[in-house]
Amino acid sequence: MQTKHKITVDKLNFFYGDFQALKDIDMNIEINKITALIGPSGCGKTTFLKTLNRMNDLIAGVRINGQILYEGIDIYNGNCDVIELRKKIGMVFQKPNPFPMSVYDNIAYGPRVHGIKNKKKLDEIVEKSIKRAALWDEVKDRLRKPALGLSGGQQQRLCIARVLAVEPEVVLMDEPTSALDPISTGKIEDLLDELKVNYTIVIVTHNMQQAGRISDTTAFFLNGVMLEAGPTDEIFYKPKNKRTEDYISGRFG
Amino acid sequence: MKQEEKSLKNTGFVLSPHTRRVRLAETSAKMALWIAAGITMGTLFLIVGYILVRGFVSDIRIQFEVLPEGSKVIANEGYADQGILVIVNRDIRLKDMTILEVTDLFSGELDNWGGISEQDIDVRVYAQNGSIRDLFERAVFLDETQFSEDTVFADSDRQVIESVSNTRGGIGFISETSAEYLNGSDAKPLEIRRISVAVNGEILRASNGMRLHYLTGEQIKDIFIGTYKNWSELGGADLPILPAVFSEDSLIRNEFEEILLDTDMRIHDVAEVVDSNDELAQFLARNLGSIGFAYYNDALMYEMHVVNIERRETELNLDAAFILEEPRRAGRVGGISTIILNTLFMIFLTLLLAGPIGVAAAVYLTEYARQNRINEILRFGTETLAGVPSIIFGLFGFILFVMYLDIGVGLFSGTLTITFMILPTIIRAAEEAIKSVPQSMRESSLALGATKWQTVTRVVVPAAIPGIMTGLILAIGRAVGETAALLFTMGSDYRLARDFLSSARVLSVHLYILVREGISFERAFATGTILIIIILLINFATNKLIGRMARMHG
Repeated sequence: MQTKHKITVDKLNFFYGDFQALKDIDMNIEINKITALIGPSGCGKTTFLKTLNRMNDLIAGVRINGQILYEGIDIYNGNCDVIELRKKIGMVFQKPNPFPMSVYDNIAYGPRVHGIKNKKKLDEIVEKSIKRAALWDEVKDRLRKPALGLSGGQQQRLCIARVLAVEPEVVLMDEPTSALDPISTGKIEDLLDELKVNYTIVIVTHNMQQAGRISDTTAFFLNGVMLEAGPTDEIFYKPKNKRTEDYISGRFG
Repeated sequence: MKQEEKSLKNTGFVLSPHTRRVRLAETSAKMALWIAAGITMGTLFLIVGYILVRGFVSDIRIQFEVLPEGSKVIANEGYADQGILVIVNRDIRLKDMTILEVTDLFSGELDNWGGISEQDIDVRVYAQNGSIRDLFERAVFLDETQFSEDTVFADSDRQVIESVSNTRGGIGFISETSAEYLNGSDAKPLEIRRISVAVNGEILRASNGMRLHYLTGEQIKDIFIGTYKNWSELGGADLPILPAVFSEDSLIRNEFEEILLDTDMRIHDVAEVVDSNDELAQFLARNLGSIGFAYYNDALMYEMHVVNIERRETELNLDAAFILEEPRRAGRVGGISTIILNTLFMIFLTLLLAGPIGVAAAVYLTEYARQNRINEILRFGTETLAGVPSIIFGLFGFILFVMYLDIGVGLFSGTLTITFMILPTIIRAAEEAIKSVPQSMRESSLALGATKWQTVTRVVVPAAIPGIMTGLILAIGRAVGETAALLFTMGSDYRLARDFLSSARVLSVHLYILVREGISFERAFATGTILIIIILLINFATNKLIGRMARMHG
């Protein structure tokens, strides 16, 4: 069972001060699948995503109870190494945010902070990561140029490559295409399809069509509660919950 | 729909009263902004421009009791064919000298060129011991003057030329007939200014609250060619002008005409032609409003009333020598090379100290310190410190470093004081720069598994570098221009600092001392110009650097 479920969430409650953002979330995230989190703004899906690699730790005054098990290990246990966790569970953000460095240094940043200094090895990682992010042909001649000179879509793929360079097993994506044009979005969606062979992907999206197109599993969030989760086809065509149906058919949200 | 189109058509191209009001308001606001910006920029350009112009060109008016120009040949009445040339070594930056200066140099009264050519070079006197020695003494020396004890006497003109050529600071005299030997030598003849203008004493006395202080060369020319008829036209008493001149075949008349008059001009309305200095002196004494000219020494001997003559000297103030030479004699002569180096040294040391400390403090305050009351107080404290007058820092530095820690007045104490002074500026700027790095950069770094320290040192601070640099420049600008804080702590020795503890004068302090002690306004302006140029260069270089870095920032 643990081989099938990469991450198991058990009765997760999350508070920003007095405000409860997540209520009793139970969820299994399957290995080598794309899991889409959908729901209207403010429903808690991004908060949920960030609990998975403990990015919420950075915010003052948050409280968590319940359990998140990564391959059976409780990541909120005091002994959990956050650095190792984030190495295993990478994250791509809403807006492309390359560092103000060269393309090469952006990709090499992760491996470098994890102690890889060997030039040849770094070169290898950089090339492999960029190729995996389907960006190689576009940037191979400008590895030493500033990453901020790339187009928005290229920047986002660079950010994906930057995450892949750390060799994670899970990639969390927080609306990775919301700031991009349709063509760039299409490229990233194709990329996600290729990536799921090797990675487990959790993606937050506002775009119903996107969720339908790319994900294997979909979870619908509303007001901090996960109302429904299941195979994407089921959620989209045979939702069990009335509100899920309302949302998917565009009646609110 | 149709009605709407119609109404658009009717009003669309006519200014409504509202639009007109808005436009008027906008136009006047724009004008006000334009005027404010114009005044600011204009004032700035005026100040910087004035300092630069005065720094590069000195335009001073000096009064001497001789004509503004002279001739190379010192003539002797009655010995028309035995003119004398005064020659100096080529290194001496002079074109002419007054007869007084010649006397002082040969008699040993002046043993350094500083007072004349602003060069710290010892005077070496060479005299021709032959036929023209007597003539030279008669023309140049006053009653009891004698050659200086250090005078080297040579037997021939050619020996004098050779000695002067080979000696830095050498000066000598030769017969006019040997002028050809100067070709190819390192000696050059100087023009000697020695004709004075003397008047009847009454003219120099105040009348009706008016007094003639001085004449210019131009005015003297106009007097003798008859343009002026009455002293009142020149700001003097109401007396007719009565010019007395030597006869046309006299050497002094020829020299006078050659110096002052154009070729087609002639002396007009002469009241009296005299044959000797004695006659001239008597004429001047007897006739109100009379004026004449005589060699300076003769005028003194016959106790004539000599008039001050103003000369306007426009020359390059800030030349290579000023930058490259060491200062001498309290900065009166020489250049400011060591002071420039001291200043650069101070900047370097200050940056070395204040840069890392300031950035570290800013990183702590923004990234690590808890944003609580104490942090607020700390921040308020830094802001207040940034506004404390520098003299207070100077006093503090003096008490702490010089007195209490006993480091002494010198580079180290000065640098520490300046560091304390500019730290708040650097911290503030660095804080702002670090805060303006997008939070998303930190998040993505942390999400890649980087630690906080790695995130700060490898992403946040590098991304903030342009802003931090700008802060450093501001701080350097303040440090370079700082006088008050350095006066007590860094000292004013204008020699090159030998070590960290030696007293060292920087440009701003030098400028202060030059003006405060009345040493030289011209040099103060030149120093100010160098100061401005250094700041400009630093700004320029940093802008280039920031530009290069900013390219990484997209």
